[in-house]
This record gives sequence, C-alpha cells and structure tokens, in this order.
Amino acid sequence: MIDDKALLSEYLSESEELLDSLLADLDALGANANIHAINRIFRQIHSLKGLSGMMGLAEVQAIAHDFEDILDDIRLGQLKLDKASVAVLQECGASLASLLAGAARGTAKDEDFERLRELLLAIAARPRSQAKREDNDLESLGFSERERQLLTDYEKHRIRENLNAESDFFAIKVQFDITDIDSKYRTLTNQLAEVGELLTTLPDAAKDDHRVAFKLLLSTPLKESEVKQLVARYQGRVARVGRSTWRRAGQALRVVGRKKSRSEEEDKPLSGLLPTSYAQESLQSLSPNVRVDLLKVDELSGIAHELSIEAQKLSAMANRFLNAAGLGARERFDLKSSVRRIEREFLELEERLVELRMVSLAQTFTRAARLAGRLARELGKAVSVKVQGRDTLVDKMIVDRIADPISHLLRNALDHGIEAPQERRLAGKSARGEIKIEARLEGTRALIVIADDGRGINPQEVRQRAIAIGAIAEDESLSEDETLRLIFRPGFSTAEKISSVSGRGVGLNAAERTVYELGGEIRVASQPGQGTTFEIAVPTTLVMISAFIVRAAEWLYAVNVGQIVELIYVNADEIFGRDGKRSIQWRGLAIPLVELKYLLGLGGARVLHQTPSPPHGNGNGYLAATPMPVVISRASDRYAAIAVEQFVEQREIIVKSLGPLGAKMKGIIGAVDLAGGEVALVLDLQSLLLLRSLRL
Amino acid sequence: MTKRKASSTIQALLRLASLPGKLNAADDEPHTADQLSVLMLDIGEEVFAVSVETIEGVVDCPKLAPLPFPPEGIIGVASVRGRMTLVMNLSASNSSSQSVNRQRLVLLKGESQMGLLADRIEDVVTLARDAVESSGKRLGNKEPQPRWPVSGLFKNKERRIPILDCERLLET
Repeated sequence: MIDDKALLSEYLSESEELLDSLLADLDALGANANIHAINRIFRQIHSLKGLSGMMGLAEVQAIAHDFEDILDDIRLGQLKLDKASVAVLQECGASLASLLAGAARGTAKDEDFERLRELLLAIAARPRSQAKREDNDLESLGFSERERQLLTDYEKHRIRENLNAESDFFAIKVQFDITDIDSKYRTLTNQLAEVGELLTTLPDAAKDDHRVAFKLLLSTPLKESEVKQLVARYQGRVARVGRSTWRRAGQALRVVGRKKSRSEEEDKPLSGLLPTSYAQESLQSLSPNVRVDLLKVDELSGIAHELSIEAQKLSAMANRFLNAAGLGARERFDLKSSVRRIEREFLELEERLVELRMVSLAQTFTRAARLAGRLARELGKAVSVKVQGRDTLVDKMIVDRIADPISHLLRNALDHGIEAPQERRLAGKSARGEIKIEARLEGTRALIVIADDGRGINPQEVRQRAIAIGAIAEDESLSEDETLRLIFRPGFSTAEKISSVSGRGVGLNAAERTVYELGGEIRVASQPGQGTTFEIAVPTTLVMISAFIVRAAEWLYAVNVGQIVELIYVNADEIFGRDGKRSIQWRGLAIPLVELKYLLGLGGARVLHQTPSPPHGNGNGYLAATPMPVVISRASDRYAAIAVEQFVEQREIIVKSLGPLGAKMKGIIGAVDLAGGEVALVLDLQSLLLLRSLRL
Repeated sequence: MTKRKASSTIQALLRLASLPGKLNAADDEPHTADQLSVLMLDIGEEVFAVSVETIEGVVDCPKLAPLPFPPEGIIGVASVRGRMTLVMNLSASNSSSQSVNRQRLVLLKGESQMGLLADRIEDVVTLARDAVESSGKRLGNKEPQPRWPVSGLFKNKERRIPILDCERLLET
C-alpha cells in the first residue's frame, strides 16, 4: 500500500495511462497478432512492473514479472497464440488493472492475486514450439561467430521468422560522433522501424576514438537503392545480405527446426477460466488526475497575465474616476474594494497556474536510486543509496532537463568515486559505499545534492590533466576551488579507460551547460579519500522568474536575478585598458568589462568623454560624464562585468516562449510583455558571453 | 482546399484586418479543390503571395525588439495578442527593426509563432490551380531567382507573382 497521498496519486495516474493502452492493445489482439503489437504489450507490462517495484508493491511486481515471462515466450515463438489464449490474455490484462489499483490502496485480496496467477499458469501450460535453436541458419546472413554470440534469443527468433517469411535483409553500417550519438541513432532507428523491422544493432569498428560504429540488420520490402537513399544523410553503408542463400536457409529451418505441435483439441480448455459475467467491471477512472499538455498551461498563464495587466489599467482608471465623479462614500468603498479584489484574484490565478507546472522530484529520484543500484552491480561495487527531499516541487520542464545531469553525476560517483569493496577495506572504510541524493529549497532555488563517500578528486591529477588538454598554462596559479572546477572543462576526463558507464569527458561539461541554461549552477567540493559532493542549484520555476530589467541601446532586457552576482556603478577612472579590452577591479580581481549592446550585436563600446587631465592617469585619458551601471555575472568559474545604459527595476515576470525557432537561438530564454506593448527579451548572460567567445 | 476551410480562413482575415473590399468577393465565390486563394502582399519593391490556408490573420505590426544574431530574414520579436511572434522581413533591402511603423504583419498558422512583415496588403485572389506554374520551371534565365522558397508562380496584371512556400520558409 502507498501511504503518501501525492505519490499514490502520481502512481495511479501514470499506471492508468499504461493500463489504458495495454487494455486497448490486448483488445485489438488477434490470433495472428503481429510482432509489433506483442512487443508493445510486453513493454507496457514491463513498465508497469518497474513502476510497481519503485512504489514498493512487491506482489504486483512479481505477478507482472510472470505476465512478462509469458509474453516473452510468445515473442520468442515458443508459445502459440490462438483465439482461446488471446481471450485469457485479455482477461489477465483486466485482472491486473483492478489488482493494481487495489494493491496501491491496500484493498487487494489474496484471492485476486491467486486468480490472476491461475490465468497466467493456464496460458503457460499451452503447447510449446519445439523448434531447434541452432544458429546455422544465421550464417546465411554473414554473421561472424562473435556477432552470433551477441544476438539475444529474441533477435535470433525474429531473424528466423523473417527468413521464413523470405524477407530481404540489409546490413547497414553507420558511425556517429559521440557528441550527438543519442539523437542521431534514435532518429535513424525510428526511420528504419517505419520501413521494416530492425532486427539487431551490433557494435562495429569505428574510425577513431570520437566515433562509435554500429552494424544494423534490417528486413524490409524496400529496394536496395531506397534503403541507401534513406541512410544517405548518416553516411551509412548498405549491403544486401543473404540473398543467394536465404531461401535454402528458410527451407532448412522449416524442415529440420520444427516439430509438429500437438493439436489444439488436446489442449486444456481455457474457456472455463473466463468470467461468466462482467457485471462487476467498473468503468471508473483510477485516479482523480488529468494530464494536461504544458503548452496549454502556458497559454492559460499568458491569458491570465494579459487579464491581470488589463485589471491594473482598470484599477488606475477607477482611481481617477473616484476623484473626478461625485460618488457617495458607499459607492466609492464598493468600487475600491471590488477593484482590489479583482487585482488580488488575478494575481492568485497567475500563481496557481504556475503551481500547475510544479511536480515533485520523487520520480526522478526513485529512478536515480534504481540507476545507482544497477550501475553498482554492473561495476561489481556495493553501495547503499540514501534519498531525501523527494517531495521538493520544481517546474516540470526543469525536472526533465536536470535528469541527464543527475544521471551523469551518479555515473561518475559510481565509476570514479566509489572504490571497489577490497580497496575500501584497505582504506579503512566499510566495504559498502554510500551515495546520497538529496533535494531542498533555498529561497526560489532548489538545491540538489549528489554526494559519495568514495576516493574523492585529487587536485594534482586534475591540474596535470588540465595542462595536458591545454585548459590551463603550466605556470597558471589556481586556488583549490578553481582547480576542482577544471573538471567541467570540455574534453576533461582523468579516467584512464573509457568504460560503458562514464569517462568520455563530454558529460560534465554538457551537464554544466544544461544547468547554466536553466539559470542555475553546479558546485563541487571534494576531500581526497573522503568523497565528493556535487550541488546543482536551479530555479524552482522558469515561467515566473524574478528578473532585473535593464536598458541597453534603446531597448529593455530582463535578466534572471539568479545570473546576477552584483549590481554596481563604475566611474570612468575605474576602467582600465583600451576599447575592446576594458577591465575593472572588483573584489580584488581584474575582470573584463563588456557592453551588453556589444554582446547583443547592437553596437560597440561607448565613447568615454575626453578630459584634459585624467585625475588618476589610468592611461586611456577618457572619462564618462556619469557613472556606468554594470551587472556582474559569472560564467563557469570566471566573472564578467556587463555595462548597460540604465538599471530599471527588479520584478517578477512571466517568461513567454519564442516558439520552436526561438528555442534554437542562443542567449535568449524567452520574452516578456511590459507596459505600453513593449517587449523585453529575457537574456541568458552566460550563453551570450560564450557566444561572443569572450575569454573570461 | 475545401470551401468551408477557405471561407473560415477568409472570415478570420476579415475579422482581424481591414483588407481591400475584394476579399468579400473572394468569400462569396465558390471554391473547389481546383482552386487556390492567395493573399498578395508588397514587400519592399517585390510582390509575393501566400496561400490563405497558411495564414492566421493580419495585424498592424507592433513595436519590435531586435534579436541578437538572428537567422537570415528574422528582424525581431513582437507581442501579438499575448503571444510572442518572430517577425520575418523578406525584403531585399532588409529594413531595420526600427522602421516597421505602419507596416502590416501577416501571421502564419501553426506552432511556428512567425509573422511576415509587409508594406501593404494588395488583395486576395482566387486562382485556378492549373493557372499556377510549378516552381520547377519557374523563371527564365533573365529573371532573378527568388531568394525564398516558392511553391509556384501566377500571372497578375502582367506580373509574375511568386507564391511563398511557408512550410519550407520556416525550415530555412
């Protein structure tokens, strides 16, 4: 039973969506179901199993596992689907659906589990195919011995089925750069799945260390030229395989591989297991939640914001009217209180709409804990994972975006941080390592901590590596904190070997960029021999942010206050260096000074007025008439001073999206409506500084 | 385009913009699958057309905020009916964002949040689809090639007007 009401509601909502599509797919299932339908059902049961496991519903997880086994046998062609077994499968689905809700609420009875188990056993006892599992037929497709060993039973089964169906096979060899492998591989496989069946993906030899190569086997009715055209944009090489031999191989498999199955009349009748009446089946929804597209919430927020601006205008008009018209005290009171109420209600409406976007970190953290456990097993390490603050609420978009950085930090902690049990014992530690995943609120920011008690980061190794990759000069002097931050530089990795878990040196840099793009930052602290702690600080919401409005050239811009370290005024005699290379002294550091209008491509550095005798003789001989408003911001571990024309005000703003094209433009998060129909761009100062390749 | 679709699009245009009177005539005319309604607009020295199927409405262009390092053709962003809209100027003499006063903004349909800046809306005309030359054989050697994606051309008052391919325009 799930005691936490919010968690129960989230679980029911998510499982309901899975159950809906599962039941629809089961209903559409026929005795001649295609493999895609079976695979889809298999995946849905698999997801339900995982979800129930995460919620601690062990009994549901176990029975879903049995269900999954049966579907696996059907996928592998070992269990035959017929009309009777399809009906029982459908009944299993319905039974699982009611069981799941009951188990979550703690109302499921033992007999409910027994009934489903009985149904599953009945299907499991159906006649099984006795096909021989020899790999000789796979030779016709030119698989090497090693490649054959890599094929799963399911892949072998699908290849045989396609051989039997006399399909055409193509081997497609592609190479992807490691920086965009995820997106390109996904796009390619999605395209291939649309034109045929992608039977397997095998590793292949890559040209260099920065690329990963694959060999894909596709069965498709397309011509060779069409397949070539399809993979041309990925520079894929296509070869038809097995054409001369597939017929013979298919024949051989049919003659030798299969034994005659028992006739259906000998099977145990299944119809008796099905209920005689469905009167008790409820059509009621499992959860009271509705799922709404975030875009629709944004639209509503936009409308509410417009209305709130109109309400403010009405309020101003009402005030003028109150003074001008000869109203009685009662009317004046009514009008005033009515106007105030409208203003207050609109403000609350805006806040409530922002809350709709907030979700808890529970799901992300549960997945993170599972990932940590799985990685530890894979790496032969022992860890216990402690999770805290899963109820912390953060904007859904931010939760989705920080999932990858969290997963990367966990991989690093497991791979590089936590030592092997033997090494830990030698260091006087417990053999079992500990990983903490925590979240808490700090003002308008959420702080997410990933900490391990592993070997820590050795600053000397970091320094040597940074010199080797040219990130710092050999004689550059850095504080300990600055040295540690070097691990976020592109191409940085002290791992001697690249493992399947981490170590390619692209992740930490990408993780830092993602967090910066959200207006947040990653901090790292480490004690050699004691462990490492990473802190990700992100705003809890992006839609409504606290922003500072500035003027540059003749335009207004908004900057997330999270990206501002300090606002200062600078006199001309405090500016050093020539035009284009100006700097100021700030907190004992010499930091570069740039104009915001230069960062935005709207102009160069402003001309400082010449004076006959500069008071401090700073070398440039120019002075501005008035002090210059300057925003101090930080990109990575360096600071920059950004000069603007005017500080306007700090206020809460609702950030509006610039659409799909706007999302691709660097340096802009969105835009905001200001009074008088003026639009202010919401800037991402870090990206703008990087865009201008400013060496900070 | 079906008659119903064409009518509703044109009704929307009428609600949102004071277009030339001939729009009413276009609404009254029967539309068939063999016909195409296009909006003709002056952009700089050139005249372009866009299919009314791809248009959400026409408004006076509000004040623009310039974008840093925008893609070619995009000159700024404006707030139109509470939605941020990227403004595209197809003019060869790509005017700056400050000189858009009294210009018109043709809002494109869909999720793109894009609008085309026009100096003047000329007319809405209904064409027989076979009167539209395909863009493949579009122009002779002597005529300048359009800088923007074009789905076809048609003749109007001795001029050959290119019909913008809005889908490809958004991709570029």
